Amino acid sequence: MMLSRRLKLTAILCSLLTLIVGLSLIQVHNYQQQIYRQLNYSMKLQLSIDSLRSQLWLYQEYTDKQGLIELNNRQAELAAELSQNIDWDVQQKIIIQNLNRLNTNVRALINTQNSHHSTQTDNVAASKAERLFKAKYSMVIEEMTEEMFNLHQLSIKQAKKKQQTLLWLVGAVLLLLTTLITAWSFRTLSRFRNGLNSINQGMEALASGDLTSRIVFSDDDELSALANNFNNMKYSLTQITVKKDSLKQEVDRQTRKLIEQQDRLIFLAEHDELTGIYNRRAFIKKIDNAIARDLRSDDQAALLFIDLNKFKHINDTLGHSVGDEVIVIIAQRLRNHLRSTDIVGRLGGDEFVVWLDLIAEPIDIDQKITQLLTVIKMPMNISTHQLEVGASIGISVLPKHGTTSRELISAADTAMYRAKADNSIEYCFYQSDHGVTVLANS
Amino acid sequence: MILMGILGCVTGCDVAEKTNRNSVSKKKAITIAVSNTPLSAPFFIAEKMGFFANNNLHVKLERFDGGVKCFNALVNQQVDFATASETVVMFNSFQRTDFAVMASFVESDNDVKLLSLTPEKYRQLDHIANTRIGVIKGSASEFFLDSLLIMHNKTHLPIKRVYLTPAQLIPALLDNQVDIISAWEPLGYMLLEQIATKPEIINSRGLYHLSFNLIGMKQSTVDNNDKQALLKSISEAIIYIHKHPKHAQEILSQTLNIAPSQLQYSWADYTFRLSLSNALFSNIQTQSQWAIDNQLVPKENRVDFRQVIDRQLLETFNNKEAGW
Repeated sequence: MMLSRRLKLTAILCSLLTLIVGLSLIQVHNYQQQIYRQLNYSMKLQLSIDSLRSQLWLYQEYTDKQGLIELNNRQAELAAELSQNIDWDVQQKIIIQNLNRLNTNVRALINTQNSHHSTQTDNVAASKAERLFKAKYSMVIEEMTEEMFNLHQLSIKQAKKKQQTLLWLVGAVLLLLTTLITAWSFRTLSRFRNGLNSINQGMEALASGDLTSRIVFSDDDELSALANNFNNMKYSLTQITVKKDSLKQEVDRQTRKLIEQQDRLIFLAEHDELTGIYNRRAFIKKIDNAIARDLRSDDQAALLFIDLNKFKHINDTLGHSVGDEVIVIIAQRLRNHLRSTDIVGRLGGDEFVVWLDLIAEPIDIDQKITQLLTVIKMPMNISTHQLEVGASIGISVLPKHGTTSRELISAADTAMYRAKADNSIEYCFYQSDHGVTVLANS
Repeated sequence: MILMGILGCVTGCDVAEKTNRNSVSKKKAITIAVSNTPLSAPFFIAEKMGFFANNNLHVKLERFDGGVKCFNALVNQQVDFATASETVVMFNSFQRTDFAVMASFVESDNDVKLLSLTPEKYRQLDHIANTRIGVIKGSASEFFLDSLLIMHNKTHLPIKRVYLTPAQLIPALLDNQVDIISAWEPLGYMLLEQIATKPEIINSRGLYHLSFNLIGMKQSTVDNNDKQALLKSISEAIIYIHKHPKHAQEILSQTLNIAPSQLQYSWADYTFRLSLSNALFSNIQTQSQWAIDNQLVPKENRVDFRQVIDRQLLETFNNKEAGW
């Protein structure tokens, strides 16, 4: 049951208790009033009867008009008293009825005595009558007294019984209700305390970082609802924490991917797509750095401009794919036969450029070119074809033929055309306008 | 557990009740001679409603026609107790004092009346002069007539008393042997049935008090506790009569085999209550004086009526009831 309903019920029970206590007090008051009324009334009756008795005695002593008037008054007073409506029960009513009857008897006796009293002549008869009336009055008054005693006794007995019954009844009801309310309140308290303890423990567990445990509850009240919400909250918190971790991992993964893509883009921007060696722009950039470094350290370097021979024929006859494979193989061979400080690039089509860094002597260039020509010319198997290509190489030397990449490439290009033009030579050093020419024999 | 407790209690009560009834049936029966009139109502009700048995008494009611026969049964040791009017007590007190009145249980202030077939003729009591009045000699009937004459100052009127038995009163009246009869109930009711007008010549209510009393022998085999129990049973029956007058009348009507209308006729005149006051004493005394004056009893034999009234028993009972 909900705690609010429990508390509401407790409040209702308390209200009921208050109501019962109130009603009981009113009832006790009413009973007391009734008892006092009855006792007061009995006393008044007693007084009236006593008064009637004394007046009767006086009337017997002084049988005159004044005595009779007084007697009539007393008798009427008693009749009036007896006619009052008091909350009597059956037995008390019977006694009152009997008193009434006795009072009527008194009236009958007075009337009888009075009607003949004046005509009384015979003394003996008169005294006989007087004696008889005296005895009759005495009997009636005696009976009245006896009945009054009965009325008192009955009233007291009933008052006692009523009060005891009321006391027992009220006591039993109060005891029952207070026991019920006390038990009920303790039970509510116990539930409240247990519920709060469970929630407190749950919160302490959460504070210490425990996201897995749950509050166990069996009741169906507000604290249980609170515990349930707390459990739900804890579950959500666990979910959020898990999401955060996986999000971080995803971000890392995406970052890595981006870096990879960036690297790839950089690579693609700097390298020839087909061969994987530097493209023209990257090659120029690289050799610009090398030129600057070599110039600072007064070192020599050579730039080879290589143009393949017989390639166009292969391309035209065997197709672009075979041509592309030839280019790839040549690029590989070049790369494989260069030092780590050397740089190789493809300018487009069948044109390659090679930077030979840190050349000590010109002879070293020749040796390297020879080596390169050898590997270029090595036969290659592509599909079912065994192919061979040759190359014409133009060479420019830093700083002799230029100090910029543009100058050096242009010079090497020029020299390559010269070598190509001359079928007798495979490579040719740039021949400057100053007349310095170095030719290599095939 | 509560259920078991209740069961145990009920079973216990049942067993106790059975034991009580068994012991009652084993007990020697107390016999009471009661008169066949509604005045004996408390005894019939107590028997019918089981108040005797409830008070651990085994009571046997012996029914007689009138208090005189009941009293005779008592003195002849046929019964343990008898019920009789104060007149019977008064007359018998001149013979013996080995009995005692234990309690008066009913009174009527209108039991004996002057009845006539033509009551309107005698509305003025003076008119009864020179009439023939049927009376039962030496009984309440004659006492009532004498009292009435004294109280109304008519003792000097010439009237002719015709002494009859109770059974002869109405036939004599109907047969015009008498003009007026002085008779107790149910003769008034029976006459009313015959002539269909109220036969009472004057309203004499309150001028004569009849009482019926429980009488026992002073030397009795019945012990005091049983006597107390007997008073308690009668008291309970009286309370029952007060609380359930209709049912009480039904019981009486069946027991006495009389019409409910007859009971109804005089029911309001009866006052059922246990008492033993000077009123009874005074009543007996007055009647004894009348008996002496009329030479119904030996004049020299003065009786101390205190000897035949045992107040002790009822006082003890009343004190017990009041919790004193």
